[in-house]
Amino acid sequence: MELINIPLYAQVQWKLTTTRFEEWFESDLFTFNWWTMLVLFIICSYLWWKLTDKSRLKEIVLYTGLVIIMIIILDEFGEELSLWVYTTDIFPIFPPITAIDISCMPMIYSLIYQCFRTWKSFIIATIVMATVFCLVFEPIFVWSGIYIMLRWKSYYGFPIYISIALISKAAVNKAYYVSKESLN
Amino acid sequence: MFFVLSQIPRSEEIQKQLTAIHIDSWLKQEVFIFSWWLLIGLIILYIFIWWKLLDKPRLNEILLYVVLATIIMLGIVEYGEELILWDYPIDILPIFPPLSSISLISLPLIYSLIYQHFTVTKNFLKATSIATAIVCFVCEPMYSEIGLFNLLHWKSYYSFLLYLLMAIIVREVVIKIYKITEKYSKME
Repeated sequence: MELINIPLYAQVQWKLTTTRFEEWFESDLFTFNWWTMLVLFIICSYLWWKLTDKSRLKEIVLYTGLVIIMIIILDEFGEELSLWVYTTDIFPIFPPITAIDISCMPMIYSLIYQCFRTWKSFIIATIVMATVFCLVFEPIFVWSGIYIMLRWKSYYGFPIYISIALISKAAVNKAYYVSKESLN
Repeated sequence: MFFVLSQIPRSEEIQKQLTAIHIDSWLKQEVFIFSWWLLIGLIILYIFIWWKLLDKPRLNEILLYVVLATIIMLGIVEYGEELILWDYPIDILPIFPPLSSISLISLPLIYSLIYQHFTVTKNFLKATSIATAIVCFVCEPMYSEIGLFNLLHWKSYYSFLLYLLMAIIVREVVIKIYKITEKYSKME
């Protein structure tokens, strides 16, 4: 690719992208971890579709969509700030870790939203979820070598996982409230 | 517990370098200059106009369109950035630069209003084509002129097809979601 006449940061970006592709081909693609990611992606997407209450689909997709946007943005922030790094991805371009960002975590958030309709039960379930993320899932990912924390501790993520759920639920509630109120 | 100490990928060094360059150029050349304020102004203007034109009783449905379009646009703008197809020279924040790009903010809002207004498929397609043509051949060259957008290895008419496709797919998905919801609500 022609790299003359383009800004310095775009040249460095290109170097980063090509290096990621090289690493992906050399030591990532078709490895055990790579297949795990692919399988996780498919299973979580499938489970989400099977377990979602279709009569509330429009509301649940709105919630899940908001969750996905926040997860993707926060994960990309962490990656660009070198707070953490992933060694495996289904595809080496955005988002940072495809299966977890747009399939597994949104599925879990979505099911909790669906099952726990009152604020109190929702908050309790979300706290339990965040605890499991920090104390079980993250250590497993670190142990398997997929996830490396550079300048990060599991418990930093705890309030963030909870905030994502609370903000998304509040936003969906607000949107449905405004829709209903403006009808009158 | 035993933790395997994985090797940090060598791309990590380049990532650090890239973020440092972003922050450096942001501090030296971008933040608080006229174009930076202009970008914030444009974003506020877009959101304000959207809110004014929004059919409030349908907020939940229009917002679903915005959210799904935003997810796809996040993918598009970041792919373009990583593959250096285009570039947004002015960033509100130096981290995750495409996040503050005018395309990411404006397109979901524009298309969601078209979705709201044109409920007949044929009309929607016509309106979307016209809007996309304006975005790609008028607005984006204008953003380039005022320094908010640069095409590096890309042509405006590629964007035309990409945006058009995105707008149509998101509409189909939203309609489908509403149909499924209705079907299952009746069954209960």
